Amino acid sequence: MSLHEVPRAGTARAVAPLLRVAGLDVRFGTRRGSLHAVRDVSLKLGRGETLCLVGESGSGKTTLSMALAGLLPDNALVSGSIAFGDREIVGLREGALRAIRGRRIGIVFQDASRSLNPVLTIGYQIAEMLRRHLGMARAEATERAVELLEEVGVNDPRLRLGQYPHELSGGLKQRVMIAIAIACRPELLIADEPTTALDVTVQRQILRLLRRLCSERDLALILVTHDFGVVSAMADQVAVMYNGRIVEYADVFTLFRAPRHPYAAALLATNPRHVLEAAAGGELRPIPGSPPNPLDHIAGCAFGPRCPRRHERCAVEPPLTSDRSGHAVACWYPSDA
Amino acid sequence: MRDAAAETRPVIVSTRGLTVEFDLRHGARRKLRAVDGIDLDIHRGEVLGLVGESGCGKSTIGQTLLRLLRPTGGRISFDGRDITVLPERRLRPQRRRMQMIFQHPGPALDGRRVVAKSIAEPLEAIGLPRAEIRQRVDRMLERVGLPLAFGARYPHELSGGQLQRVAVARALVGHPDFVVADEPLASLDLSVQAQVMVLLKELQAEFGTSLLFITHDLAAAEYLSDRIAVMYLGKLVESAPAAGFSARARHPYSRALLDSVPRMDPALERARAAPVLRGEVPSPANPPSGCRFHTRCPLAEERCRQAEPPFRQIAPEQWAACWLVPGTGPGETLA
Amino acid sequence: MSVAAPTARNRPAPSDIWRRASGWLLPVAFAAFVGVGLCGNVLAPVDPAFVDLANRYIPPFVQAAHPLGTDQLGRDILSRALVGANLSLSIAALSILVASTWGIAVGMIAGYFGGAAEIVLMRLADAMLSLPTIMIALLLVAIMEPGFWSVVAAVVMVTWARYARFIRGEVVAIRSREFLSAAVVCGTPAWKILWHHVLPNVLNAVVVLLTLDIGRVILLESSLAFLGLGLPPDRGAWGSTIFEGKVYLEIAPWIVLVPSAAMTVAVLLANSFGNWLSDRLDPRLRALER
Repeated sequence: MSLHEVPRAGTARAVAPLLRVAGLDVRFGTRRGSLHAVRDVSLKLGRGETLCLVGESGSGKTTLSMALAGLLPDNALVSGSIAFGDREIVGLREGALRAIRGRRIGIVFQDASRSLNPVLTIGYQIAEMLRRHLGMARAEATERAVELLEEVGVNDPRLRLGQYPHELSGGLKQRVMIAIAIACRPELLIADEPTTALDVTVQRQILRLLRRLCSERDLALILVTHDFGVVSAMADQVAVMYNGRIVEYADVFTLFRAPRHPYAAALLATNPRHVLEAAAGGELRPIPGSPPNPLDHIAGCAFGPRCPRRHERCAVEPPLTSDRSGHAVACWYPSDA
Repeated sequence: MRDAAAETRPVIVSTRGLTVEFDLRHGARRKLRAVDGIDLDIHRGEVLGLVGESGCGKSTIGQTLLRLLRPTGGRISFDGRDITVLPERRLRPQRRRMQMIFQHPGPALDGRRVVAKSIAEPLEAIGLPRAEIRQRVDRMLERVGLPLAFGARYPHELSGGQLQRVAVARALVGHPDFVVADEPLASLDLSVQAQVMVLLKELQAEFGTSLLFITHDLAAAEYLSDRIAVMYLGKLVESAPAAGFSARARHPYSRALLDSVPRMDPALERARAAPVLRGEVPSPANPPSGCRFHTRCPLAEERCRQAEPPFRQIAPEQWAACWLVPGTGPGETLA
Repeated sequence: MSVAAPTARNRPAPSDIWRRASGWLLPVAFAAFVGVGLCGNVLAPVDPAFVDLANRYIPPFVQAAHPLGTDQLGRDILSRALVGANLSLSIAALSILVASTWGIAVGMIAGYFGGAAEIVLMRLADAMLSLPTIMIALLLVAIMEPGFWSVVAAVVMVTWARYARFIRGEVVAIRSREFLSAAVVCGTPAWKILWHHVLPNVLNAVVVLLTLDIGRVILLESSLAFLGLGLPPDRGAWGSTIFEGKVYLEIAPWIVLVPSAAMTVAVLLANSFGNWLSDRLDPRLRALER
């Protein structure tokens, strides 16, 4: 990506970005060999900005987000740089990471029922966060927990404090997860498919909540999703990932209007909603084949085997190159901007 | 127009007052009514999209129509024959005419058998000669776009999309009259979802199969179905032709479902002021009085809390259960 | 599959090397144990019942003719141990085979069909399990004549219920899996579903359970023999040899020690092999190795 990126209109901020990732690589050692989950990813994120990482399973979007959160398992080999504010996260020891994670970086997972401890009350779990990171006393933490629950739109917050996770609906649990994530006023929120497990009507509530929190608190958000609807509703910037790499990076309006990478374009075209909303009432045109297994080694462009525009040159992996506006694409034959 | 034709085609599956209850706890007196008095007609060669959120009973209906669950009330008839309480032995001749495609293709296939064996199962149950089974399985593998060699593979050697193709092949190899597809896309990757959707649509048209397509995704239902039925907490709330459903849906819940889905144009999406539906689906173990949707409905009035609205015709080919949507006909109650 | 070049990180740890070695050591040892057990009668160097009063109480490793010494009647201890192995293993194999066939059938029927069949069969199994093992065995052997078949019958009686319960649990878990619904939808008859879908899917677990049970059954059989309710002493069962030999523990401890050691090794081998099998057959673990 170009280093002299022209700031987009509307979110022009002259300050240094909150998060700057450069040449990030994540590999896992497995019995079947090395799994290259994230390949040479570079990106920037400013305060209050929302970046959507979108892709299919195995695209590396979740691994990338976990790397940013410092939550990779022990068998992960990370190289490259993740600069968060003034701290470098890559290579940081667990103790130092823990001070950042939760405190300055909040995390929301897909499955709230698995992230909440079933034998502890909601109140205890929120207060625990405040006591551990901010050293609050019990009473103060409880009061703060009530405010937090109110802020994430939970009715009867005092009643909820004494309840256990299984007493709450899926949407409420996700709200509690968000309350915990923002408890210590983090600067960055990482949300991995936060609405995927929820019903559509509840999805919309949670997305609204996240948008409101981001704008009220000037919170940067990295949202991992496979759903272009979520991207359309939430993103400022979008990174489309395939086989561990960012294949297209653009602001959300540009991406939906004129995707340049054939994968991004095809993915949009296989969405029945997109087809229905297109005035022409076009036919669904599926991408042939399946996403590559991250364990398999693909020479050249990883999308090549499924690409309608494949050519000889695609035997060499195309670099991610960006134009003046910051719209980056990794393809030898991109569509016109 | 398929929609107009649908009414003239004979009915293949039909329910009247279909009710399915589960014991909340073993031996407890309180019951959970997952499906509550549903009247449904599925015509020959028709695709009915059954749409709703979790807990609305859509999957329960699918399983009950295939008699994987026993209804606790009402009747099911299949091709004019009452199969509500038919014992398994007598039901078996009918079984070969119905099939199912599951949400997760992995667990729906026996991991210890090669996929060709799984595809062959409906044909083996009919008792066809081996040679013919082989031939038909091979033809089906080819038809769903899998190389013949895949027949000798085990499920764990295939990707999710390939497995769902196998499941589709198994469901259609015996040319059933009626297939229930329970969220067949939900477990698949986006790019693969479209493949399976197109495949289902092609094969359904080719074989003239009637299909009950159960999904939470209105767009997918609109794309694949002839008619859409929307469920909420065990009740049908609206039924209308799929073509142009997003424009013609009248029930506040159908509208809310449509509004919940983000537009695929970010500028439009952000400018849109559609209200967000309050709360979540109440527990089916303890449904609200009157219209079940009244606790979340932006338009709810006093009578919605008191009395349950009838499922009545509100336009040609369209029925809804809402006090605020005026009926047209003399109270038709067919879905 | 392409494998990355070995780096310092990829070099196998010592524990890995041990694991790989033990990977084939155990089954080989177990096979040897089974081989010795099956051919015990043939392998025995001398007639185990041959009484030689001139050569009594010979300690092990003294006479080449009696490598493990002789007992109070001058019988060759090695030969007796081998014959004992044959007896123990045949009883274990036979009774486990019968008990598991019966137990699997009961468990599958109860687990798959549920309802009244399940209630009756499982209560019966519970009743079986609630009584002390040794008591049932004692009763049975007391009713029947002590001998090979009465021991087998006793072991079957006290073992089948455990299998039935275990299998029922497995089947109930499998019953909720979608491929069974798929089979029902296909119109596959129940017996065929049980045979083609359920049985193959519980078989791994059954094999592991059975192997782990060999040790248990050997101990049970020996206990019965020790109590004088198993095979007659002249047959050379480990349990009865130990019972007879305990009187001579001070002057000739090897009479007791050799069959005891044999029993310990047998039980250890059977249990370790069972664990090894369960590691092998667990599909989740297998997937990791691929």
